[in-house]
Amino acid sequence: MAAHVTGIGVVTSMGLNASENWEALLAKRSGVGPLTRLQTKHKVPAGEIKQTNEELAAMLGLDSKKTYSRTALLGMMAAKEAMNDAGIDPTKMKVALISGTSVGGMDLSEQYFTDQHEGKRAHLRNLFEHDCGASTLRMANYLGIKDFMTTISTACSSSANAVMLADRLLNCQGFDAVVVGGTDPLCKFTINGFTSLMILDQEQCRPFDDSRNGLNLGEGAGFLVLQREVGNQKPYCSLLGYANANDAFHQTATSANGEGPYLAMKGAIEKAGLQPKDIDYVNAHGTGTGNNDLSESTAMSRLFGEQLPPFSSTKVYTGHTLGACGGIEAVFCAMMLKNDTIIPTFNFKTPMHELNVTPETEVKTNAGIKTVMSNSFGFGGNVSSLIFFL
Amino acid sequence: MQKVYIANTSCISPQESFRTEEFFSDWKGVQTDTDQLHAIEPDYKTTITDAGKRRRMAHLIKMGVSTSLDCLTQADGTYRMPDAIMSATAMGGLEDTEKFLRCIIDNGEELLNPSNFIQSTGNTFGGQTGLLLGHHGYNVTYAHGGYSMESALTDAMLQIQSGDINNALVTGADEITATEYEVMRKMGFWREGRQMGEGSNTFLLSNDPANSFCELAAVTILHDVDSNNITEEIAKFAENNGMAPEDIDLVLTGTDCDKIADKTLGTSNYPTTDYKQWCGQYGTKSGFGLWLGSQLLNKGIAPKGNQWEKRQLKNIVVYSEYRMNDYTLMLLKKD
Repeated sequence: MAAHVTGIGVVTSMGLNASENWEALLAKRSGVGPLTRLQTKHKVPAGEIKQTNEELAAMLGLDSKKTYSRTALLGMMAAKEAMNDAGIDPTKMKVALISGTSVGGMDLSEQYFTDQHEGKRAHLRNLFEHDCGASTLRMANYLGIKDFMTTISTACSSSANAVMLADRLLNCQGFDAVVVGGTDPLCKFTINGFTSLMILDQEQCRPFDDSRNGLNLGEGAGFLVLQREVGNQKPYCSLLGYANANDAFHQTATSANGEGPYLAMKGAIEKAGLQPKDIDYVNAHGTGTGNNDLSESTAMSRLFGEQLPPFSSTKVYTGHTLGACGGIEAVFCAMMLKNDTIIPTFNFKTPMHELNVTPETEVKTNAGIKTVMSNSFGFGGNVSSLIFFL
Repeated sequence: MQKVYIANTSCISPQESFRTEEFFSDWKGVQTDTDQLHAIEPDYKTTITDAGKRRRMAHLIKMGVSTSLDCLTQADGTYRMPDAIMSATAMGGLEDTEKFLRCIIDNGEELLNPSNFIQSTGNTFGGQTGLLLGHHGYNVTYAHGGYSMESALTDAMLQIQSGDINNALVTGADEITATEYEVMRKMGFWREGRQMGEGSNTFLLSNDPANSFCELAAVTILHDVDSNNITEEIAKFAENNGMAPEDIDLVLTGTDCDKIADKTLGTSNYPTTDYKQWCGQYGTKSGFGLWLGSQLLNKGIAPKGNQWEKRQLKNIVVYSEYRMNDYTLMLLKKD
């Protein structure tokens, strides 16, 4: 039996809950703009959440004297919304938490090393949150989840992979609900990392456009509640299929023929018991880098042939939220299915010269979508596809 | 439900454990005069033959890739292709992370070296293993502190038990870095005989019992357990797996800071041996415990120097603790 999505929660630069995000998506209002909170010398646009850690902690009702990484704070906010939405209570049922993140408590580690560099007192507590698992432990404490928790770190496919484990736990280990998704903050580490790789666009990103020139980074968290048994509430959708494949081509680039993405999409369709023609919409990874978009389009063309389904990238709204993007885009897919609406890409003018494919560029209501696919690709060749069904 | 067996293992540790039986010949290797147990590294030319790739790999990645490839090496020198690759690391590429962070801060966000950034991500050795094998299958990395190893094993077991896959390569690795050592030192963690360690432990799990080391019957992670109740929890674990508590022949223990649990176990009826004396303290250390347990069952021996030395071991529990009150239990069985 397929797992049902019974709750959603999302925090991005567009808004701090699902309804704020949905309004912005419908209005084609991007959260990507100039950085104002994060101190960096790189003048790149990003999907920045304007609240400071202290403000987020206050909104969550946390003790201001305690130290929380931004990763944990964003994750708490989105996961709590998803749990409230589903109406689940971990004191009364067996609940697991699976989170995907790429940098863990890096914002606090940066603070530690900056303080040390400037000769200020560097607090050791800022290093204790460094490992990826620490953010999940903080979240589990806040959410009251004790039965099972773990953290996946496969760069930008982290939270998509988390969803796969969630389904397996529901199948085999008697869990009533799994809270699953991912969270990642903007930090100097990733801004400088992607700068060193020379794949950050100095302007707003342009997924699938011939003039695309890199990605914008973003921050946020997206969580789902997955359950086998549902109460009276109608679920958003069901998780029908998924697959993870390894491109095995290069540590940070995707192969020209998109072998990994092709295998992941094909595997997900097979696991769902579907044919490629059954997919009504693809939420692409679509980062806006020259390499990703061409490789992904090539893989889609190989798989779908002439019948390429409508597709778009929502990274123009959020920026690339790294480990969180699989969770955030799964929430977007659930909202698109529930509202029978396709959210488009914008900043698209000219198809790639190598391959003539055109993403959706206008909001499409009454879209007739029942089955949607969400792609997430990461460093290390880790690529994953999820299929949701209304 | 399909049973899960350990078909092969490979281990880089502070002991003579990689492609050698030396560790088991004299059970030497316990060092008490240091609080850092560095891994005895193999000649990486023999494990990662591509010189260019080897040169670019950081210490952690070399360890993780070496045990992964070694565990898959067949008699004719070719690699057996696993159905899936699961990796585990508590801290990931900590050394590269720190180098890149310092580079950002010390150089004012200029003159950045992308290779440190690339190698810092947690999934680097899992990804590199896939890349070197040309492996297009499932590939995931768990980074969940002291339960990273158990998380990766759980994923592999779920997929083998359900029949989705026949076998999986599971590797857990972590490295010592000067900064982490220093931070823990400031907290007083290395007092009282604790030692920091490092290493990489790989297991080829399979649904095929033929020629296997032993069965991996269960992996359990327990949260929020009272240290005083640890023996009861082990008894419950045995019963949940269809055994009486007295059927457990040996508990391989690996506590970090929980003295109550240590004392409770030490005075219990369970025969115990501390595996951490050989591998030190690190996030995926329970991988060493699992390696040791599977070796003992495969060889039909018990650790020397204790009263259970002559005992015929059939069922071993590998016990690990991390951050107090959270425990993991793994059950190995050999008929």
